[in-house]
Amino acid sequence: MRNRERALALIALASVIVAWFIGWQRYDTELAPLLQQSLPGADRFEECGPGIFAGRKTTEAEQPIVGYVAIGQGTGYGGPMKVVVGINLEGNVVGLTVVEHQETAAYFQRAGQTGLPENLIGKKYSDPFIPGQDIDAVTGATMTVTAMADSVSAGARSVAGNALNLPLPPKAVAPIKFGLPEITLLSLFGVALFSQTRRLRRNKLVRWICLLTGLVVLGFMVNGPLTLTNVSSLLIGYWPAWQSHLYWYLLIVGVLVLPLVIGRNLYCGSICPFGATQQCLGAIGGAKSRRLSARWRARLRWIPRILAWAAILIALTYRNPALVSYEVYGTLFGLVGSHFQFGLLAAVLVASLFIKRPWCNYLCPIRGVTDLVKLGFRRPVKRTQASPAVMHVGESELS
Amino acid sequence: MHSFFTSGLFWFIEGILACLVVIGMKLWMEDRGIPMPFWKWAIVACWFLGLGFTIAFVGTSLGEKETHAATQGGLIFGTVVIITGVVAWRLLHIGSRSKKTENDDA
Repeated sequence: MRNRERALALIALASVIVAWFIGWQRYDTELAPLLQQSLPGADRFEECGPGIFAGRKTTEAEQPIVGYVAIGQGTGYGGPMKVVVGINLEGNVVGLTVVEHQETAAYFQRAGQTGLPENLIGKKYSDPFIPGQDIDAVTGATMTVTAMADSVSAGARSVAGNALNLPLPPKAVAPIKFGLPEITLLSLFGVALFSQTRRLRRNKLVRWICLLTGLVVLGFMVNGPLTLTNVSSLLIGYWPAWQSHLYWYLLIVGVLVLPLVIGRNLYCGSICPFGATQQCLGAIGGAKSRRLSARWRARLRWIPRILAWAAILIALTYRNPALVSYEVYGTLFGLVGSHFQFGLLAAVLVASLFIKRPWCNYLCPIRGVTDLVKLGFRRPVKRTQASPAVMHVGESELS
Repeated sequence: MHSFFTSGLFWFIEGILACLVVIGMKLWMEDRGIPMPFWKWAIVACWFLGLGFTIAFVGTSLGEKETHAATQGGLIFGTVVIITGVVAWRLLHIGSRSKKTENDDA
């Protein structure tokens, strides 16, 4: 049984590699029709540098250059964002079109509701383009806004430096972001590891403290649980700058790498803010984990694995990590999501009152990913070994 | 616009139903040996207000043809009402005679 599970996990991992190559082959974007949209005064464009197009007005006899268009790129929540930026001869942004992004639709929509990207028009190439400083920050869509601002800034600076020969002020290097979220995350992993390896007498209490801290800080304050979008971004190769995304890298290492090294999944049982929410609701409603037979629970455990596998395949094929993200963390902690996500969240929260951690055990794609990784990378075992391949969240924890 | 839901008859029936629910609940609690001091009635009243608010929110939003708000609000407030309902239900069982008897027997 264990070896069959392992074989299936290896087939799943192989299909992920195939999907990656399929997506890589079909990845191309046609930018030409979007140039005029970003530089309305021009009607003919000619390439005058790498990714830079000079826009001419052919209705006038001398066909003067009225501006330039460049393609700027930044990194958002789901991956790279490409923006075609129109710049006039003074180095001001006169138009822009987002031509490619991997953001979750709800976050992108939220950024759009606050006037972006239109309110970037009129900015000068030498402006800092920093949300909260010279651009309005949008709560709950910080990374999307930052990606948009970075893309426009990159495009404007490219034109100013290469085509207009204007003096470029040095671009501020992003400082290493190490604050409350990173400290909390590292502390929680440390405490969880210590309490589980030393088998403390007050293990249960320590886990509750970790869970509640994770719920408040990582959930409501940071709104940063690990999502399938993050995992898909990683697989596609959209790796954001570590200086500004240290929290994200710590999370990836803690959730995906640490279980392979120490053989324990600390995040799901002791840190995950959404798991903590379900745990709290379960305590209120007196939830039980053994309402289903062991056979059925073993069968249902395949649901998150299949969902995660299918979602990753689609994300890799279409090179869009946020395409099939069905998670509800952002819906709970940031009140952002589709009707489907709000409905799913409502169902999960109500079910959590009666069944122990229904999302973690039967739907969570991160759990599916960690299961598949564990099954795929662990050595084959003999039939006599009785320990389960993956533990049911809630079976032995806090019960 | 005149309809059944804006008429006096609707509110008359609504009042009768509300009275029946409260009386029914009181008798049911007495049958089960659950004491109902004032603070438990206050919890029930608050929860009932929450339930009424949710229904009103969804109803008026639909009336205004704001289906997005009705769906979103219904899901959010509905979930909150269900969860607070379970919390209230557990609080109502504090001091329950049946539980006390079970404990005494044990």
